[in-house]
Amino acid sequence: MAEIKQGGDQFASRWGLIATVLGMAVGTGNIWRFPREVASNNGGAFILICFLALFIWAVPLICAESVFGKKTRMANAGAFKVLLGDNWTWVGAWCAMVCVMLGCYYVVVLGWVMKYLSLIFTGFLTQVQAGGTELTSEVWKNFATTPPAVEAWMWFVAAVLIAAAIISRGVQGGIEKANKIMIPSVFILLAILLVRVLMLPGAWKGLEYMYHVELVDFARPNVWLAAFTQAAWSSGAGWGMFHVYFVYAAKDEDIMLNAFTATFGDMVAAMLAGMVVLPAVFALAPDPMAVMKSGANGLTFVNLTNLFAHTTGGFLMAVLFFIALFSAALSSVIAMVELGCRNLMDMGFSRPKATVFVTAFFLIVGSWSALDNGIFENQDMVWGVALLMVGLFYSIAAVKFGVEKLWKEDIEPCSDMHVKWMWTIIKFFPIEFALVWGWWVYQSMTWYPGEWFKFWPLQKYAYTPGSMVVEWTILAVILFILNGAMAKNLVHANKLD
Amino acid sequence: MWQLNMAVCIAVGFGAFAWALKRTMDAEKKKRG
Repeated sequence: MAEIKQGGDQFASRWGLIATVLGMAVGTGNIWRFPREVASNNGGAFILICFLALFIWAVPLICAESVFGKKTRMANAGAFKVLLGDNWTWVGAWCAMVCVMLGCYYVVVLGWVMKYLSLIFTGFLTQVQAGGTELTSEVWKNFATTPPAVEAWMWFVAAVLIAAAIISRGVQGGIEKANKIMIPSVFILLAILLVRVLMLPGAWKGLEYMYHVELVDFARPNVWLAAFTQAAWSSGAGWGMFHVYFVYAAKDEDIMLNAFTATFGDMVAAMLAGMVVLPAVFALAPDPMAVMKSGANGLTFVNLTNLFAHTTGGFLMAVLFFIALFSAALSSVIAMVELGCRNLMDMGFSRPKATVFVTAFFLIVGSWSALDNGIFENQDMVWGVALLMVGLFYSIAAVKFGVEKLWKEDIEPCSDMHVKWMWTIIKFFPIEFALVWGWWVYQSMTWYPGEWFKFWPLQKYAYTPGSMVVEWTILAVILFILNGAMAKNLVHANKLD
Repeated sequence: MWQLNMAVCIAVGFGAFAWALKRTMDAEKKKRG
């Protein structure tokens, strides 16, 4: 066990760090998003491309984030300043703010999970059995998608306060302890659910759908796009959160092996979730494919509740499923709040003050998404796609500082995994970015013919390139103006000595 | 065919994760002497 060094926060053990980065990576992206993506992208080919994306996209980017955090002992804004000069501070701050903006609406989902957990414990499944499957759709509509969604907002506030309470206790007292319990629990709960689900008649059809391969799918660009996006979303590569957790890593912490462990641990959680959700739907729904196409929120909160209500042992399955989802989502939210806090602490804020500041920001900005599902969808698109840009900035920064230099000085000396190509491939990320983002922009322009540049009202133009560019630019301009002040104050690194 | 793909995916995913955890445990043991 590593000792805490005077003057700085540090993880007490390597297992604490691994549990924490896994907690950051494993979230709703695995338990909800992965099964839906598998379903809508026709199964097996998508999963195989996901594996490829882990090797050539996720692992190199996570290594880049980790090495920046460990080398500078500063969060995103401070690290860009230290490694690339004062003029780059606003770029690092932009990367950090993307994650914070994303966190503001991600907490809304955590609030939804808490609401459904409370519904399960207050006899909702029995009501669904008596009242029919329409009841779950009705409850969902009234609760979350009809603005102003006041009850959803109240659960959102509770979720923010829970995350803030854990963060305020610091690295060892709060984050590390919480993740050491939550993350193994997620894997155990999913494994229990898997055994139960596979005992249902017809469940194996779900596995067959999930893993069947049609060679024509390898020639479909949208399957490749979806697989690479899923790998980024799910593993957390490019979010900047690995960066922040490695600010607290021990000096001899293994960057590449930890990146590999977190990435594949995340994929295992996603596969377990897929092998629970798809067989459950195929075993219990009269028209499984119609259920799959019903949309992200619908599958988890409406259809799975229906499925749990109409199966033997459904109460237990529902409790286990929503607890797993809650644990996974909470540990991801904790990482997002911590990212905001660490950036402020680098500017001299105390942890309690930084926690209050970030919590207030989450409450104010996230409230719009909690109250109005149209805003939620816009924020999901704008900041979700911005993750690709963050990844690009990290790649450019690594190339500018020296990919070879970082390998020789920081990655290789303390690594038990010497697979150099998995790091140096980061040099090619701008090409990957151009292909993925360029394709997305082209596609999204066709969704709004003649109106793709419009952005107001946000609910109407939720997915236009216009709203994306406007929101990105507003954030960039504000941070560019603040660049000098930020650079001047970013002098409080997390010194371990 | 789907059974083969399932076996490959489980072997690669779970195998890589298990390998990484084992490697980490060995490194920790070595560090503690």
